[in-house]
Amino acid sequence: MLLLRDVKKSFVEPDGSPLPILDIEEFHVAAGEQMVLVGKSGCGKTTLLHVIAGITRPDCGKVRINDWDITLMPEAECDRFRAEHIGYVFQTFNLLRGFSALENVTLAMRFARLPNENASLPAQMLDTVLDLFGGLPHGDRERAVHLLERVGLGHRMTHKPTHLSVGEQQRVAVARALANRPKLLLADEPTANVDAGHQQQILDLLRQTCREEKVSLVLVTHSPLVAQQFERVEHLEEFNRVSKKMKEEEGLST
Amino acid sequence: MSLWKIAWRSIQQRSLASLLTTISMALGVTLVVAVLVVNNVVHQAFHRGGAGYDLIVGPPKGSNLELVLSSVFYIGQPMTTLPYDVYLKLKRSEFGTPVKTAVPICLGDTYKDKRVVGTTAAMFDLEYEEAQGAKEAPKVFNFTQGRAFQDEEADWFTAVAGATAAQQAGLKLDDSFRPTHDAGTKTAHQHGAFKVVGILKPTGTPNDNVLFVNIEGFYRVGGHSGAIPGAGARSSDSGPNSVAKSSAEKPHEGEAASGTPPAEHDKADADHDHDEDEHLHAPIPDDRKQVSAVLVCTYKDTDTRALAAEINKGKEGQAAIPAEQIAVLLEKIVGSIDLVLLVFAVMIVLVAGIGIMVSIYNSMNDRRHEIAIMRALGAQRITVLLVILLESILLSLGGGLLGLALGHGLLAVAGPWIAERVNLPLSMLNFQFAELWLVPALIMLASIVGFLPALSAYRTDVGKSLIANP
Repeated sequence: MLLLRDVKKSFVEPDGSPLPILDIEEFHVAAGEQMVLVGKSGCGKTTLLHVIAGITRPDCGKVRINDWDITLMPEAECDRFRAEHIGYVFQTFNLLRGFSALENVTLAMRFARLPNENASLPAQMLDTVLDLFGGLPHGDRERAVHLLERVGLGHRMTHKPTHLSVGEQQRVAVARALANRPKLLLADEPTANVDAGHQQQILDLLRQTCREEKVSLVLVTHSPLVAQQFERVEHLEEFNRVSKKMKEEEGLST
Repeated sequence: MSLWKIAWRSIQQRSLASLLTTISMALGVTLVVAVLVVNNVVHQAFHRGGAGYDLIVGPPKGSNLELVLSSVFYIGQPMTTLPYDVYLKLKRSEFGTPVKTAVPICLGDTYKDKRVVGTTAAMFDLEYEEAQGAKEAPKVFNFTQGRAFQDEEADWFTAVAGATAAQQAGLKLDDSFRPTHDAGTKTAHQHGAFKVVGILKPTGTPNDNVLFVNIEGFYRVGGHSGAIPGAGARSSDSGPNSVAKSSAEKPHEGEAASGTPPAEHDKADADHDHDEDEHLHAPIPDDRKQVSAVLVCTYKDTDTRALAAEINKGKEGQAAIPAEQIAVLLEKIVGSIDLVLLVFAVMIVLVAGIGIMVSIYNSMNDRRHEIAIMRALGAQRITVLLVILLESILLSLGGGLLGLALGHGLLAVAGPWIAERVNLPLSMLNFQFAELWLVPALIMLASIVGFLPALSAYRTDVGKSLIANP
């Protein structure tokens, strides 16, 4: 489902020198698989998720999702691919403050422009007209409502993020990430800012929804409590040569 | 959710800054609307002043423009006079071109600073050019009260007051007034009285500000050189019974002007009344009459030009086509003022546009994170660029529409006040075709000023901006 091969990524230091972040020979995730990525702060976990999502381009290497190599896609195509096939849950939720919970979910659909292949001909024609004015394709609002009800926010759909609790905000973020029926869900420490009571709730929600929707899940976490619930746990230091080298250097210096 | 709505939400999020930029744009557009409407009304008023006739024939002295200024706009004094014979020849179409109507006007008298114009009943039959499809051409003069005076002897000492003149001089129907000769000079002297038989509806032209009197009465009151045997006149208390006097009695006029109470004169002059009455109705030979100008209507444009050429060939008078002279006047004087005002108003709109740019650009630092979220959700670079452009367009158009409403609201409030003072018919419904251009112009301006912040949004580094704290 997901395959990274010979991926390298460096940033540039303020003095102009390169700062290597990733050097991964191979990393793969099977279809429907749920796995956890762990590693120390600054070891490149978020950068790896950005590279997988096509938000950040690697310096070299391949990032294949199903049959598509997103590193070969022009930027606009990559954006569209991300909108249609990848869901992303951020550590800080990253909800858009000016929009209601429902609008945050439908906005993701607007960017993906999901075609509804199962719609009747008149419904498809209506979609075409709505598209001129940026309306949602037929049935998308219903899906957004369904997802919010699914995460237990059926009664809070018109509330803006500032009027939602932290746990509720993260649940909106989960609903938003699943809005476009992605094949792959990337979750960057989704429970880090949530209190202990809500952590398990969020985690269960993510895992169960991914299972139901047959979505592969790559979850980044610092929490051993979270990590131990997954069958597959990968340490970034193990397969990222940059992190490995750093770890070795640190070991030598101590 | 449409991109418009996304842009609108962004505006709502920064409501104060958005409101302020919208107001500044609205003020700019208000000024543009005011300038356009006033400019158009001024042009209309100027052109309407000369509407109803095709040609003005006046004395040969002075320029065409001076002739138009004195006979259409009642500005300045006529240089000299035109022999009555020229009027008669025009009336009888003796210049080789058929003439539809010839209306003489005599200037030089005033009443309470309002010009008194001696003319014939034909003045009130003047018509505007027939509009396409209209069955009847609209008349230049319509009456609020009363009627037009006739050329008959019974109406010789009657007058018709323009709307503003009647109001400002406090004249009502059946009131009498005594014009003063030598308008604007200190040696003014009063004439016999004219009775108001009609009050005109406002026309939005300088005619609103004048008092029309019967030309025959005008001739029979004094001071109009050669108008009657031994020109010179003085008033009596007999209402419209103005008396023509001989030049030998001129000292009396001086007294009247210098403030001697009329009653004393009346007593002293009571025995002259019979003679005066005779003078009043005495025929005046045509060769003693003169006019300030003649307003001429022809049947077609080519006739107007032929007649003007014929008259300008001779030495008796000069002919001016008012439409042409008014166009010159507008272009040379009013036109440049219009342009300067319009340039200022447009500059204010431009400054307001730059205000929008600065406002959105300054907000970009705060918004970079949100733009990065949208990009991470799959929004393309062009999509976020469009959202910023739409935001700029919404602010500009919102300001523009508010400005249009404010501009016309201002006209509604100030219109009657301005109309009263400067005789311009201003109404909030004075929409100009040019105002339609404001919409595409504002969209273009918004696109230009929105482009810089939109480009900044376009170039947002998603990875970095996502990591940065919101």
